[in-house]
Amino acid sequence: MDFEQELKASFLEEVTGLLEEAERYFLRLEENPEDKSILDQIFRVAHNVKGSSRAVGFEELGTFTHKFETLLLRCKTGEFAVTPTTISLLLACNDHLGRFIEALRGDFNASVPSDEIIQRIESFTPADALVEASPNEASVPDASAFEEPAEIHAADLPPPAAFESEADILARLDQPFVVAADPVVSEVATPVPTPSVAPTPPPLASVAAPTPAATPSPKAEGAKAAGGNTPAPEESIRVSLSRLERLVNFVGELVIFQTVLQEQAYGSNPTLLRRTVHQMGKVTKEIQDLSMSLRMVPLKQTFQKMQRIVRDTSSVLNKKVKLQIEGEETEVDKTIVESLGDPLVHLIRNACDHGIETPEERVARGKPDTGTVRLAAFHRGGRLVIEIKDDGNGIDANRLRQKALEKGILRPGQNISDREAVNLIFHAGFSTKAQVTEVSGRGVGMDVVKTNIEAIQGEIEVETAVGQGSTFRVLLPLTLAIIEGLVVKSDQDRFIIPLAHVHESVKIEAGDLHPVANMGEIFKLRDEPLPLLRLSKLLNQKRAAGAAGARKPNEDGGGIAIVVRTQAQPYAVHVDDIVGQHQVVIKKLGTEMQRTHGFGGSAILGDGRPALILELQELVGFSKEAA
Amino acid sequence: MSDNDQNRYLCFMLGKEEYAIPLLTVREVIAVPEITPVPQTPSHFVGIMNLRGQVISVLDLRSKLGIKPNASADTAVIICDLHPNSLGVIVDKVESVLNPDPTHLSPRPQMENSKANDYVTGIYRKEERLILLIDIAKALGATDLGLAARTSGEQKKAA
Repeated sequence: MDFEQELKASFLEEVTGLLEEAERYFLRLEENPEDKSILDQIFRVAHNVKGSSRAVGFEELGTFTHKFETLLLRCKTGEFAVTPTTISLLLACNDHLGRFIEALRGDFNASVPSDEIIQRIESFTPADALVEASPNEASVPDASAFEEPAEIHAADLPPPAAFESEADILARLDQPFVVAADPVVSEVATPVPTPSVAPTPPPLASVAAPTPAATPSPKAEGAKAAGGNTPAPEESIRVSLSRLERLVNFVGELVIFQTVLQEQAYGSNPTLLRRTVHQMGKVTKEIQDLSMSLRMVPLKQTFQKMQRIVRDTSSVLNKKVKLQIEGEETEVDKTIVESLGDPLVHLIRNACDHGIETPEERVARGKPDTGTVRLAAFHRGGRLVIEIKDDGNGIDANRLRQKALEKGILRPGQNISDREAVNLIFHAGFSTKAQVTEVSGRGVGMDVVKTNIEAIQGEIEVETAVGQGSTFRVLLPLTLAIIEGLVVKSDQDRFIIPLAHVHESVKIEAGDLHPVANMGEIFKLRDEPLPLLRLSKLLNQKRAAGAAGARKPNEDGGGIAIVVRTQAQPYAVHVDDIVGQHQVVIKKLGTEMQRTHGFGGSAILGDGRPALILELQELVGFSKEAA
Repeated sequence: MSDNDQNRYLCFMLGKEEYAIPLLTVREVIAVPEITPVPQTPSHFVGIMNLRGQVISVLDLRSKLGIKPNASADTAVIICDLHPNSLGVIVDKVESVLNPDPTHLSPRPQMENSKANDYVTGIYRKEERLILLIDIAKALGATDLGLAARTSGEQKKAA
């Protein structure tokens, strides 16, 4: 990456942080509209963004930020009263900036049309600020739709004469950029690959990047492949200095031990040798733990964003909702945090929309008119738990049953428990809301949430009491980089099965297996019949057909059954042997292997040879389809 | 010097034929290590190997191009830097580094089935021998290995 691109990448990284900071200020401003110091802070952020975006050559971004800054300045001077309407506009600007940054992340030459939002800024009048905010006016950043909040000021008066001067300023800004505020500008701005000179491109015609709202943070592989000659900016992470220092100290110690060991290689003091190896082992473990902890980030930023979601969602729905956050300092692996955002947004919106009742309903039920959504995170049993609890409606199992019957998900006469009925909300294409609202309830929600969470090795459960509220609990591993794995042998090759997927492993005795015509085999586990799938067959291992590992399918005994229990269907997988149980560091497979099925990655075993990590669920599903 | 690097090639043998790839795509050359096979992959996909803690896929260029392998102690793995990841490529024998004389370089012959051999970027005449200059990524079809096609995600759950 050359110098200029490096600058741009680090700028984008920095701005993302700044925007999050700004958003927090905005929400605080809403609570204390009189507090001018908050406005000052936001102004400072906007000013920073403006200055540096031009310095690194993002002209369009700079132009937009300038207008944003002007708007802020007028709020600061008191020209505009700080009302919910004003804040909504400011937030819309902030969102637009966010989208812009996101697009630039994917492609440094991306441009996002800013006409509409600039129009809104320019036509904003002191009188507008005093207009009571109507629910529609609050911008709702929707994860699935990329739409500018439009037509809000359709009925506005034409801008009064006082705005002429403003227009002049803007007109001047349309000229190719010549501001010498920053000494770096003149050097850096010149080699920019043709920044589009017209800062206001026609709407939508020039959206070069994928619609940013639809693409969350650049995903590991996909985004890198896209974008042609512009390499995706490298991701970075903030690490506390004390952790780094400890790491460096331990590495220093390791180097000393290595020296001692080197001397011992030619000496003959077995006691000293053994002691050194032992101590080295300890230090290595410390270094492993520490280096893993470098990947951990607090949930704070993710959680703070939810404040905004609650604010916007509740104002659209005309509900009063308060978000309580607990445990935002809880740390979790960065990759998990990144994939956690979307599901959380969905769950929070869901709680506001389906959970919390309208103030009237709540009062009628003897509850306080403001509903509470509690978002909490904590560690339990080596896992991260995130709870989203609302004190609203609860989920009515009977209504779900009825709905499931209507949709043909349940057969008439099929009996399911309340618990199973409640879990129907995770079924694809299921939405009980009579009227589809713009906030949630398109019926594509909860099953996607569940799939997303399962993709990061997590689980989701729900508890509910009608009339009292529901609790969604998301259980996640602390890291995806290391897993506890069961090393199994199938047909001479070794594979790793994540221990989290294994319910138990049982030696197959003679008489446990029952071949069934057209259905494969049934394994009887303590009188419970389980379908048995052979790993060598699932993987189409060639040697399975040969002499070495070949067993007739109906042959009794031999091998080990790995029992897997999923919500859908418990099953057993036959492997030849279990080699052991190890903590393994997951190594990603190359993109050339992304189309293979059933492998979650690979890991290097004790003897230095790599082995594949199996995703049994994917493998079993795949082989069933193929059959 | 860097100008020189741009134009140098690494020559290797596949069966009885001589090939060369740009030296800049080569990271290192190693002896054939222990390789873990990967089920459900085409036959030229040999498996995965451990290169100092990094897991790398190994492909057999000979079987990909349909050349009869010449089993010998010279068989080697060339680790190629193909953006975004590295790949190991098995060849029969690594020969030498070639610093081609541009006058002996000719473009790829236009043959009828040029689609099938578009990985050949040029031909170099070295004394009496011909060396084929190839684009390794194209030769391997590295972007699309034609591995098991992915089916839609929903059905898997239902199964």
